[in-house]
This record gives sequence, structure tokens and C-alpha cells, in this order.
Amino acid sequence: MKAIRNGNVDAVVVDGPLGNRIFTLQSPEEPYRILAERMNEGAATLTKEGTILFCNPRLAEMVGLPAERLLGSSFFSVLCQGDRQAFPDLVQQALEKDRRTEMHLLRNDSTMLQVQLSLSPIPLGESGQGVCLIATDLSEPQALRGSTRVAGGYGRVIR
Amino acid sequence: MLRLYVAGATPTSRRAILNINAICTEHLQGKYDLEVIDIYQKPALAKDEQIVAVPTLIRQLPLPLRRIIGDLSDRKKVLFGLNLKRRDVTAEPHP
Repeated sequence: MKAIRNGNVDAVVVDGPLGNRIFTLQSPEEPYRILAERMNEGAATLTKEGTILFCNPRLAEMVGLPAERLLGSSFFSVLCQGDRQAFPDLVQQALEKDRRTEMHLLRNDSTMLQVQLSLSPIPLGESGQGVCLIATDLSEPQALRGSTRVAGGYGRVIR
Repeated sequence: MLRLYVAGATPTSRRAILNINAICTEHLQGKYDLEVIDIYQKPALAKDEQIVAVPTLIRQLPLPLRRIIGDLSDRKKVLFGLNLKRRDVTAEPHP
């Protein structure tokens, strides 16, 4: 209760007749959150060190891990060994302006997934500057990728 | 074993993730299992664990189960809650 009074929580969970309801105490960004959660491209918010602060279900699916294993971990751990060396430079550049490149994700079953990574700068308030990452699965047919590109574009503005 | 419940990408949740990461790295030296759960994506887990507010950190093991509510910026309180409190705690929390 003290934490709630001091403003150190941002949502409460209430059990009602219609099931669990989540009441957010701050942030009117629900439409953007839902968009990020449901888009067909992987999306994540990273610190400049690569720590994953948010990821959507699609990114978890792409690397074959539950989201709870990704959140708080380093994005390096889901990159193929050969791409890990280049990633810090990519993030540093993306702190200033949009960057786009192809890399390989290392899936939990040890297979690789070729993706296009789009990184954009995103302010993280007290946590400093970070990057917004969108991962497009390049193993999907071209026509299908085209249909998801619009959702990826919206993902860039999510805070 | 630790479970941190957060609510999407809100500032408080971001702080909680960074703070527990720093505490684990500094005081547990790899001897921990941390899961960070977004209650928007896994509401059933929040119900199972009777979460009433987020962020909430639960130490599931070793028993007894402990809960700490808030952004985990009060380093001494978190270390006490996790039974890791030392006299020489001087590290600054993430702002």
C-alpha cells in the first residue's frame, strides 16, 4: 500500500465477475501497446546496452522463447555468434538515427532465423536513450512481408 | 528463483527491470533464475500469483516466499526482502 501511495506502481490487478482486469494508474498509451503486442513483426525496446525492456509476443515466437525469458535479458543472447560483434555499433548508431540491417536470430532450438532489424532512437526518460527494434522475418514469403510492413512503420512511434 | 511482474513498457516497469538486473548482477553473481512477466501478455499468471499491483517482485525460492512491490529503487529494502542485506550496501539505485 505504501508503494501505491508513493507512486511506485503503475497498474493494479482486480479480480472481477468478468475475470482479471488490469487498471493502469498512469500512461494513456493502451492503443499503442495493443498495436505492438499484436503486430506480425517482432518488436522490442532496448537500452543502449542491449537489455530488453519490452518485447512483443511475435519476437518471443521468432526466437522460440517465452517473453518472460527475454524481458530483462540481453538482446545479444538471441543473436547468432557472427552478428554479436556488429550489434553494439549498430545500437550506438541507432541512438542518433534510424538504422536498418540484416542479421540472424539464434532460436532456442539452435536454428537460425534471418531477419531484417530496424532500429530507431527512443527516449526512455530517466533510463536514458534507448532504441526501438523491429524484426522482420525474412524467411516468410515476400508477399506476406509486404502485408506486415505497415504495422512495422507504426511500431516506430511506440514509446 | 525470482519473478518480476511488470506492466508493458511503462517507466516504472522499466526502472524495476533495470534495478533487479543490477541487484542480481551485483549480489547473486549468476546464481539466480529471473523471469520478467508482462501482465498484459500473461494475465493468467498474475491471477495465479495473486498480484494486486505491479511492479511486484516475488522471490519464489528459497522459501519463504517474499513479495516486494514497487520499482525496486530502494536498494536496501530489496536486499532485505531478498535476504541479501549486507552492511556495506552503498551502490546507487537506478534513478
